Amino acid sequence: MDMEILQDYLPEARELLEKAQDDTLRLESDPNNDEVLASVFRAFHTLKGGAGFLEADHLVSWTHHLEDLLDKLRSHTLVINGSMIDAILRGLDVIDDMLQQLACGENPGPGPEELGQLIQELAAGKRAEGVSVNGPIESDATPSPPPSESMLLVSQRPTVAGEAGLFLERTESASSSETAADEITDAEFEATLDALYGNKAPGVTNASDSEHLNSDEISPEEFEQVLDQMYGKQAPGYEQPALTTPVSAKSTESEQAAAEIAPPTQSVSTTTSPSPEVTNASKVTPPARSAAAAQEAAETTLRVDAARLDAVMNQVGELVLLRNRLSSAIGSLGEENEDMLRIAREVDITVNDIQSTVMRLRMQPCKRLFQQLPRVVRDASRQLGKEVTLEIVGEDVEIDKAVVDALSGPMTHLLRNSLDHGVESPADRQAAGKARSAKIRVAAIHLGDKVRIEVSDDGRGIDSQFVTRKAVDKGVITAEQAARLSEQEAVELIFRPGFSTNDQVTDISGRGVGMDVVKETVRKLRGRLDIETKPGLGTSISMEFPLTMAVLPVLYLRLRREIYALPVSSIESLLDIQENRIHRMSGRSVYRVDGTEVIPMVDLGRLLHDRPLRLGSEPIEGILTERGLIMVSEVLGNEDSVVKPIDFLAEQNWYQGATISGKGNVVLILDAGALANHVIDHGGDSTIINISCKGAA
Amino acid sequence: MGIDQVDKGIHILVVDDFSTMRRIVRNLLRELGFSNFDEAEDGVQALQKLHGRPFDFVVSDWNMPNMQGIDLLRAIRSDPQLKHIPVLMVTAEAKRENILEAAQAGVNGYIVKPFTADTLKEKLDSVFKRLQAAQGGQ
Repeated sequence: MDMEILQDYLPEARELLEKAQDDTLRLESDPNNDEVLASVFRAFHTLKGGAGFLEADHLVSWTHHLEDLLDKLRSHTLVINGSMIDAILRGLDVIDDMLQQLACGENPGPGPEELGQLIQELAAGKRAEGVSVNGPIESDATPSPPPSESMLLVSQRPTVAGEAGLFLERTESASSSETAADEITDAEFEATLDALYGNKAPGVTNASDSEHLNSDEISPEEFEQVLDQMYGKQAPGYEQPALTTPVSAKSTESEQAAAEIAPPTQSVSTTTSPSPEVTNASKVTPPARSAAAAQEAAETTLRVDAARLDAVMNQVGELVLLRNRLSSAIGSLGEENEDMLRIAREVDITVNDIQSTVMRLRMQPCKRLFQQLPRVVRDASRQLGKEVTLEIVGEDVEIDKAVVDALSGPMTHLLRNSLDHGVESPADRQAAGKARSAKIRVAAIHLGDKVRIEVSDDGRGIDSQFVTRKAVDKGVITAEQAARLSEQEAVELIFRPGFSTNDQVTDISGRGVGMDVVKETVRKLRGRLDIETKPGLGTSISMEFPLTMAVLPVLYLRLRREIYALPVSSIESLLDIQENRIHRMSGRSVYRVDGTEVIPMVDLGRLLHDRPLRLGSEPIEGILTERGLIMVSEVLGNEDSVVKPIDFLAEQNWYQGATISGKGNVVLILDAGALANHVIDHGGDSTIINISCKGAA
Repeated sequence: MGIDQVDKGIHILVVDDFSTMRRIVRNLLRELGFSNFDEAEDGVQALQKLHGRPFDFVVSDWNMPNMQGIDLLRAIRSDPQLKHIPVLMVTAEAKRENILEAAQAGVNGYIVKPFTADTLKEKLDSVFKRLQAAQGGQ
């Protein structure tokens, strides 16, 4: 297998596949759109062509059958129906799997036999609409006549008028052995060319133009002769109107063209100067302008290996760190040097510019992320017997490629989950006084340096008591922990590993990705996950991601003598700790932020040093995060840092990576969410010993 | 006679909507010693390129959006400025009806996907032999 070609083929094939899926879904509402039919056909055709060069024989035959079906649809030999769309969509999934195998360096195995059979039968017109795979196939008794086979023969014979002409003959053949009758052999082709042109070559009409072969000169006489020989003086006995019509149409067009050519004196070279022929040609190709625009767009786009982009990203990261160190070093110079300061400022600005430019290189529209969703909704709603309309907003909003890549599985899961658990059956909805058809809305919203992606439905909402009960049953939390949970915390249990409200893993929402994976993915992308649910009205899950993964603004803080960092994105504000606002509630320390908000306290001293911070005897400052108030010794200041992953830590820990501070020291970056979760799970009184047990588990 | 006598510096336009396929064709042509290529995504773009500068050979896919290979061929043959350019059609199958239609429209040769450099060489060989015979027969 040619690896170089494979590297080209895979991304292009995937694009084709995505487009084919979109198109197929469009056919559902617009089954007679010839343009879309042709586009799907072409996708299979092109996939097949490429697969042939890769010697992926099973992919070739799989795409061939689909191509065959689409060919019949495109020519209106068959009319598309729901079961065909199903089969095509499932066929696309198989191709996707095969591409996956190719990507792993394997030659794809055969596709599922039953589906393959079905597609072939559909293409043969053997299955009528509404007939299930296992049901009786009535139409089998009266198979539609196969497209008639025929042979075309071309020979040179005198016409009725006694002039030389071409004779095209079509003989109907009863044979249905397609390949034997339909395919042309090399010898036959050569014979055809001989018949058409004698010993001359196409485009070369007589001896006089042999000199012109490599020049661009042409005489009107010569052109006339070509027209005469190829299209004029038609032979009698054209029995196939389908062929004569386009040919004769062409001939009139060509004659017109010939008539418009400049006078015979014009025999100079026309290669460099604009000539009437050019305008003439553009008349033949009316869509030239739109295509020219498309071409412009195509040529300004460059396909770059993602690994190279990542390398640039990393280098920019290093540059950012160096910039930080430079600023820090200049700051610590005893005397002020105007020149140095100015250079540092300019470096600062330039690095920022590079950073944002490189960041933009990695941005991709959310369209890529949303593309698969109509299909997900279609399949799941059919399977579950629910009625759903999907609304997609903000396809053009751009976000870091890493987010687009990583979020595809979780998005699918969120939708399936919403369909499975959130959306009620049409009957239930009606009984509840809602519209039969549910709405699921997927939206991407640009918010300054963040992008929010929301998945919301108008289903039944999440019952926090039900969720809590399930969580206790499944051993996700203890009954004691359950008693302490707030409403919101209870709802968020659905994101815990091991939690699934359905006893049997359904085909819809149980494909290996669970809500815990959604949450983990969001966390890894440094995003923030929120869930909002209203019983009877619906659920909305929103994810917020930083625009870029390249640079992480952090706040440096001190815990006794150690320096840590905390992502600025997770911080809401800084607080002075007031003792009278600290309360004990069911074994947890909580802090009353204002009249209404009470949040858990996260004592970094206890967690990291096994020695609680003592208010009054040592300095303590508070960092208010979304999930808890983190207590530290001192807040130092913020900086744009670059995250370096740490791979030697236990799977569960409180760090999301490390960075290098302006002073050149390695600093661990704390994960605010993990810290708060830990405190919620274990209460404030857990000792370091059972914490590390959990971490090692 | 044949391809061995063809100047390997001739300008070849490779027309296909699938960039992987353009690359495959280019690679195979390069294996045969050719080195001057340009590419177009469909018939419309091909015609623009053909009018932009002289080409000596066109290798075109059959099935393309905007303008099919066969229509490109017809446009080339009906354009006095371009009609001398030999055209090799790349097709998915050797359907008699299609190939004869192409022959009618003035194709010089056809090649069925997938193909190897050897097959491509054979095909080019017969195309050029015919052209050379036409030149020699004056």
